[in-house]
Amino acid sequence: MQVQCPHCAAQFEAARPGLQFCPNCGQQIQVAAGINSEPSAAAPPGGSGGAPPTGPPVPETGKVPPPQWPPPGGMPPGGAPPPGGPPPPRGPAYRHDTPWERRKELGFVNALLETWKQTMISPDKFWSSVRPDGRWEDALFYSWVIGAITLILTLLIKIPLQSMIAAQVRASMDRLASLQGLPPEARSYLETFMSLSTGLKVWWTGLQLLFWPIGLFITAGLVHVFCILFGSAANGFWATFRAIAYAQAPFVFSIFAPVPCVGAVLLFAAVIYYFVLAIIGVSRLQDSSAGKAAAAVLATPVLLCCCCCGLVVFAGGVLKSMISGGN
Amino acid sequence: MTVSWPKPNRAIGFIEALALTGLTGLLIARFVPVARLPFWGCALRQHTGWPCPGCGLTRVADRIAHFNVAGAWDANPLGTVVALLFVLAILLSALHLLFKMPLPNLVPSQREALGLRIAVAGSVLVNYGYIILKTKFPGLL
Repeated sequence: MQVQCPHCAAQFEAARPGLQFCPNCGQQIQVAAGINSEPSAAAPPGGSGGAPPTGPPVPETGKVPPPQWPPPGGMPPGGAPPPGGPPPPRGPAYRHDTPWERRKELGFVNALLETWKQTMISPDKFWSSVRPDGRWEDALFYSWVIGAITLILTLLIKIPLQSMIAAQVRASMDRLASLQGLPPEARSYLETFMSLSTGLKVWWTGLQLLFWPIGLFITAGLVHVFCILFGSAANGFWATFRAIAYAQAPFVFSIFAPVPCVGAVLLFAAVIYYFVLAIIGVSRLQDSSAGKAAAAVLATPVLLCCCCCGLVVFAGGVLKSMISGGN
Repeated sequence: MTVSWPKPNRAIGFIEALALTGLTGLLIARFVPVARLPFWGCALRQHTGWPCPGCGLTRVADRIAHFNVAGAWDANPLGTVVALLFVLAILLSALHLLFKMPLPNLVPSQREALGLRIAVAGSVLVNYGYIILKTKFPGLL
């Protein structure tokens, strides 16, 4: 049925009656059953469905309506609101440039902080406002800045802890060797890798920073392959790329990874939250259901497990937990 | 299937991302002895004796990177097809970026897209069946 949003006056196709989001402005509206294309078809929650609203909706006190996804395929590609309608009373309204994409206007630091904050604190609102057809270069730059901050701060935290980590690696190696007969070659590899000198750590950080954009392209490419396979690639590759790039925000918490005990937990939480953000992002930017987006995003780590990388990650995790355990 | 040809351009996109993925993977497979790294191996196969659907993909990458297509096919047929598609993406991407060769936009109909998905899922299943037969019951092949 065709309904008109009382907030932004945009008309859209509603697949079912009931409480749902306007795909244009993101506001919740109540679509009554059996209503045709009259503008009075939609009303704010708590309002008397049927009458066209005259002002901002009044939220019902003490009642938080459950969040709902917009119907698949319902998101408009962005741009200005339809003419004639009043501006939305609250919230992020239309798909527009992210704060980061308006950094000339907001300032570099403010734009970065605002984008990071929105991504982390209100991802649903943030992703609903991101344009799928925005500039990929901006998303790449944002991700790179996040990567640079993460890697440099990680290095700064890691260096003072270096001697402690090295001692713990040695103790862990001894224990692992006595328990599981660790091959001497493997022991040598791991000791070298885990006890890198400061110079090598700086070099390694620089290398990671250099390869960060390449990693982003590879991740986005693989996720998009599965987006195509699962039918959630309506807005093309760059929409997936932007979703993956803006979803890197939680990795800032991985700066604490070298800290014993807390580090591994925070790193794990950051990775999980990255997947959550990537799923919501792909879902919103590709106008697809959350299930398809989840399948597309999670298929890549499953594939990596199949390529035996899972074992390396597993072994690394075991080693890390041993180190973090302070044995 | 709707096919449209853009004007000659050097715009980067999905094919370039796939090319970068393939190039990185093949370069690593060519110059890093991945299979000899410590801890490298399949936990599922080591503990259960059964292969996973991706069994042999490391060998596929290694052999394709050393131009041994027959050896790669022997390790994992579908993985070989995918690896060769990555090689194709590298070649197309190089032509596109060097000579502005336009890459067509292919938009399948809903029916074709569904058929494609079924074909992919079927290929994965058939390939996994072949790997299981080859690993567990080699006498049957």
